[in-house]
Amino acid sequence: MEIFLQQLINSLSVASVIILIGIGITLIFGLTGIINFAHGEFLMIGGMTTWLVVSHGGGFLLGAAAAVAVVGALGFVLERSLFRLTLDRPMNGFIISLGLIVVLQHVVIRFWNSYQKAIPQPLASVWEIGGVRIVAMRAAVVLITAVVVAITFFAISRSRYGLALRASVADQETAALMGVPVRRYITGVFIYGSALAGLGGAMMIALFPITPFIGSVIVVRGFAVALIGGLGNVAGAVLAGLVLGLMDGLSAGYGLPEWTEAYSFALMILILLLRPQGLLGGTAGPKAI
Amino acid sequence: MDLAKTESLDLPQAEPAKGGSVGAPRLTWMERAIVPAGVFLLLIGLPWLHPGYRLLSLAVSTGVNTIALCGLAILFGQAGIMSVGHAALMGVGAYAGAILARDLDMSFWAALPCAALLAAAVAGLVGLPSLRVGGHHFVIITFALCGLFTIVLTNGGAFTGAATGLDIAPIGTVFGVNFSKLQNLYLLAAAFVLASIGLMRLVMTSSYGRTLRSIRENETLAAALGVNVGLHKIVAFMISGAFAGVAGLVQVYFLQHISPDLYGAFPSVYIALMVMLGGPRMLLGPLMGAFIVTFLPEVLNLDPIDARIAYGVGLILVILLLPGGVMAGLAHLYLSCRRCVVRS
Amino acid sequence: MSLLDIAHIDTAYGAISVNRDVSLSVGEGEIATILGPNGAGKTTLLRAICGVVKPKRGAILVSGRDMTRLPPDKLAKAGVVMVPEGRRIFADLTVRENLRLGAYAREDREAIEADIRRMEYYFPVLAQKRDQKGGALSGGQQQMLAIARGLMARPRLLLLDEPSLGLSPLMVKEVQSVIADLRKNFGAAVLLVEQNASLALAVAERGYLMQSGRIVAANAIAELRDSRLMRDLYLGAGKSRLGEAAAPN
Repeated sequence: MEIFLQQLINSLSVASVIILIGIGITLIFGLTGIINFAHGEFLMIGGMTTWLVVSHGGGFLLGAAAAVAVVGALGFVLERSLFRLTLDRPMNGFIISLGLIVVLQHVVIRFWNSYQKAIPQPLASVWEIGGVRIVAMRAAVVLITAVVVAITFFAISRSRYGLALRASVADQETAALMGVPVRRYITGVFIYGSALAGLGGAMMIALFPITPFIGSVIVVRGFAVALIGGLGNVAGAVLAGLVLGLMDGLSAGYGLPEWTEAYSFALMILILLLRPQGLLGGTAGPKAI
Repeated sequence: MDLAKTESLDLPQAEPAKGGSVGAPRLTWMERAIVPAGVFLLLIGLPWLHPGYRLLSLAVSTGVNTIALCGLAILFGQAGIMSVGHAALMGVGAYAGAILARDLDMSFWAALPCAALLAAAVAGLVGLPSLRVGGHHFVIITFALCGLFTIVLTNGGAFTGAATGLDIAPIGTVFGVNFSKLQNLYLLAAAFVLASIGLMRLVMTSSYGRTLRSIRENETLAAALGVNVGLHKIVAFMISGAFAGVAGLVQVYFLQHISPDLYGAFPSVYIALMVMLGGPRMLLGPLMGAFIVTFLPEVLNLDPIDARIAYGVGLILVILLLPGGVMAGLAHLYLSCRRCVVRS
Repeated sequence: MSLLDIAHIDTAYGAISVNRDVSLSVGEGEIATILGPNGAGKTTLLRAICGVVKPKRGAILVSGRDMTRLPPDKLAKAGVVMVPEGRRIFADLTVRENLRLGAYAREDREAIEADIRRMEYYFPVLAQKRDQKGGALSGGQQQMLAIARGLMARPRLLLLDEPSLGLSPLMVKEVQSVIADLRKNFGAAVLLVEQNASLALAVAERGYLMQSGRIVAANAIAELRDSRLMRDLYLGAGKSRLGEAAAPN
């Protein structure tokens, strides 16, 4: 039982990171139809930023804040300069993102080589609760993610901006007729999604070492989460993240670990084929009415 | 009433002009033939230019990619379906060849139709359920399937050689030609490249190509006009799969060793990148794309990291500025020069 | 200077021309209509007015101010609000949320809440279904919601695109009475685009006939109703569903 709970917390912490990028992906893809595969690289850059700050003497919190700021800014710059130009043809946005992956990955490698980077554990303690050993850092990651999710959820379902965003995801043109400045929301969603990815990167490097290639591995999970949950649906992304995280944990602990990744791929493919709008229902994309 | 935007029609392309391009400058028959003819001569004559082992190997790699790219050009350039799964289809051909050679003692020639058919079958199987969903979803499905493919290969135990992969003996002598000599293998690959380009052109200029293009332009309209959209999409995917399967087979006999990471999601991304860069609707687009990404950087002795940064940037620029790819850009350039010369 | 002045507007989709040299105007509090067969370019014109489509030529003036190439949110702020064809309700948002969204361009919090209550008063079905998803409403109810949503913006001019489309005759009658009272209850002018001539003829004061993207007649409603052109465009008296009449193209 203890092992199961431990596995659970471990998988939850990884699931948290994936949920953080999943939220960004679901909002961006849901609103613009652009498949930004480079979103994983945003996470990587977030982690690298944290590493840079920490290895130069800054604290972890500073590093995490820097990650959020740097990646958020990166998202803004990329949206304004590149993705904005592909709003009419989202497939081009996808192809550009492929180019971006190559550029971002290799720029990082060029300056900071391709070896693993790690930081000392920000929270070194391990708690014992009822016989279960919980690594404090992992619990912290889950907690932080939970807070972020709660804030996002609250903002989307209660605020005026959230309402306009949900309307834009459902039907961009009609939302514009109501006076919603959709372009500004697109930029906003890019910034927010990127900032979350940056935070995810900081969380990830706090848990384990990363390499410049980690982005490509994580991004598919992020898309899986967004698609399984339903595009544009934040609650869906969270649910899907938890389901996948659970599957991972069970697979690693009890099943066949070599097939762990395969399960999330397989589930994603199944959902895409059988229920393309996702578990909790999302948009089919900005062109759909 | 949905009035689709009409695309820019004044691009001289490998496929015949649409009715709407009245007044657009077109290249004459001679102009259209000269570059391809030159390129084909170069392709065939390369060994006699004494390029050296390394360059010749690179040329074979480029050729292998070109074969697969011709298939992808049919799928994307004509039918408008983007797939990031072609490396996996190449892998099907490659692994089929290796396993058939190992277990059934099949030679390259016997394995050829098998590889093509098997890859086409896999494509068909994948395409059947997934082509109904939208383009974006399809892209992600193909990407995920690639990932799945590598995992299956890695966990396939002795059958697939697991993570280490499989080895294979070279082609051997046929009709007195010794194919373990690189030069001859190169010529074989070049023959396949020419055949692929030829087939691609055949599809582009045929009425089948027109049907595919109508699907790309406006699916609902095509369906309303009686085109069986679903079937054609699957068949297009299968055709592109066959090309990839053949490419994989040639590749395995060239490299003589294959492993799962050659056919995963990221190699697929590079393949999609190559087709976009070269120009998915131009005759020499696939070859150009493979050349730029596979051949050029090695030849120029670029630092591999800088080279990759350059492709990434290059791809982004090409997509934004030259939507038809590098070949289309070159064609435009030639047209503008010709206009200048004619004026003066 | 009227509330809305349109001068020599040309619109096109790519190379295909839709509207040619269209000029019309709508006065404060007036109910004007544009009639014409399917494909005449009426919807495209409305979309150009509210900023979704950019005209190739010509000017759109709202109370004398040039608003020709402005995006939809600016037009909404200026009081020109469109109720689109097919209603385009946000199916996953609640009825209340749909209404609230209609007021997006406004800043006055309290007045918005008051207006929501007002809409629920004028359209009782919206009060009943206030927390249900928009998608759960019937076609006629959705049309009421769409109009109410448009009214939430306190428009000076409401653009109605084929409000009777797909509705039962009973619902059409209800929509008709809502439109007729719009000026009285909400102080808005209306530019109504319809294929259903009988609805338009019953509520409008002035009308325009559009054919193949051009205005071919402009007159007070009574004159228009009796004109030859009207009868030529819509074969035979007694056909109220004009979409069914053979369109020239």
